[in-house]
Amino acid sequence: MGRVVVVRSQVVGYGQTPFGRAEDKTLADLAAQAAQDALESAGVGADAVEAIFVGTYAGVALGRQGFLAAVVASRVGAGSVPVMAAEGACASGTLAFHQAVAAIEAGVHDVVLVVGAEKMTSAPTAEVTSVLASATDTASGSYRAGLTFPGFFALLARRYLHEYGVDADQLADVSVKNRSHGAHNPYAHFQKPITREEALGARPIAEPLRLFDCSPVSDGAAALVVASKEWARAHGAVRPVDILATGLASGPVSAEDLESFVSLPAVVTAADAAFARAGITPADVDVAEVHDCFTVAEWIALEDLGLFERGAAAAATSDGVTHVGGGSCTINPSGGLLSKGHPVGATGAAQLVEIVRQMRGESHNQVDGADVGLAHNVGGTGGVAAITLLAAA
Amino acid sequence: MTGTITSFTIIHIGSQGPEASPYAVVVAQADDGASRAARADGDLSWLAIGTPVDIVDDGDGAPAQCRPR
Repeated sequence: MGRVVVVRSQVVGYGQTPFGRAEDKTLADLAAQAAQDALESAGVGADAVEAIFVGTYAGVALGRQGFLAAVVASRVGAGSVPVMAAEGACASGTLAFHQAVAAIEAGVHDVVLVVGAEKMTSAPTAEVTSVLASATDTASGSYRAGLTFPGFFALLARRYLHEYGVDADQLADVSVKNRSHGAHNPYAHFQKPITREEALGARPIAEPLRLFDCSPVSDGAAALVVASKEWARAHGAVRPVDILATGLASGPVSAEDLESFVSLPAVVTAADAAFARAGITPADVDVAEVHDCFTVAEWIALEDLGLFERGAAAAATSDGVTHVGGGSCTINPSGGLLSKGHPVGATGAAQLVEIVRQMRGESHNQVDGADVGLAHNVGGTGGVAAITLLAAA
Repeated sequence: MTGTITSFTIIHIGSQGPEASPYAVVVAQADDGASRAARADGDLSWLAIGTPVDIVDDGDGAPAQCRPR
């Protein structure tokens, strides 16, 4: 492939709790468990960690736990290391990861523990919906009109179907594919496949989206140990994964601010930046975890990332091209948010964990020959986008 | 304000809770080129992309209402 980027940081360990309903665990329990698992995976103790960055969105509002980064430091016994929390709605986990990479590549730290965590299921659905809906400009007309996130992505779906002449039933092909992938993932919230008929017969949520077009409310946490390449080499890190690039961008913070309803411009900007930094193109990506909070979001992601031409992602999905073993780039082998679950602050970190597994050949749904992986994490109405490119070392 | 529907959705559950009647959120491109969001209640059978609409905003904090022109 001939990559020319100079790799300066690597992922040297990872951990993840099962996603789903964790009735007997607090937000801090979940975060600390993932953190401990990541340290164990890296083969290091907490004394090796120089900083802890945590991504969480609704830690206070839904998880009843503020101050999470410091609590994680205390739980894992990291002493007096610097801690920080990052918040970018559903992209919070990747924002924390990006900060860790930036700190390492700037020479500020050599080893940073990144944790993404969320505890959501203990709150009533209406409260969760309300808290999530506030990831927008709450002075906007769409928020005042009662636009929820299922509603926002339904607006995109309605427009996508209209613009490209796609049959609404094809939305089901995304959820059927991701649920079939998730059936292989023991950490997934839903591990049972669904049929197309079940998807199409489910109750409407926000037309044209039905129940299985929507990711679930979940609890969970994921963590990664990020280190400088020099540190990883000096300490004999086992199967480290290269961090080729991260790209972050911000964008419209309400539905009516979008110029197009079939593209999220922050994703395009962040992806362009990441590919440029990595010195590769979308054609080099073998596997991607994309932010399929709703089925239509997967189609739009694939096109914004340049993995498919505009209007082509729906047919590619229906034709099986994005399935494991179906084409040159597998999409959401973990099951994606639709199947794995969507504890929002943990989602970006969990996407990265899956890509690390793929690069190390350790995934429960391994893509043969996967050498370059991409994670695509979006917050709100595309107000934040975070793209990460990883590669087998 | 007048405009044309860019997209719309009929929301079955949302901020009003699952027992509430479905309502629609509409985004329309106004004649001045800007996009506006508004709400439609009651009979929603007229909704379609491209339909000309009036958007009425009382300015009292309540959501703007969308009606067929």
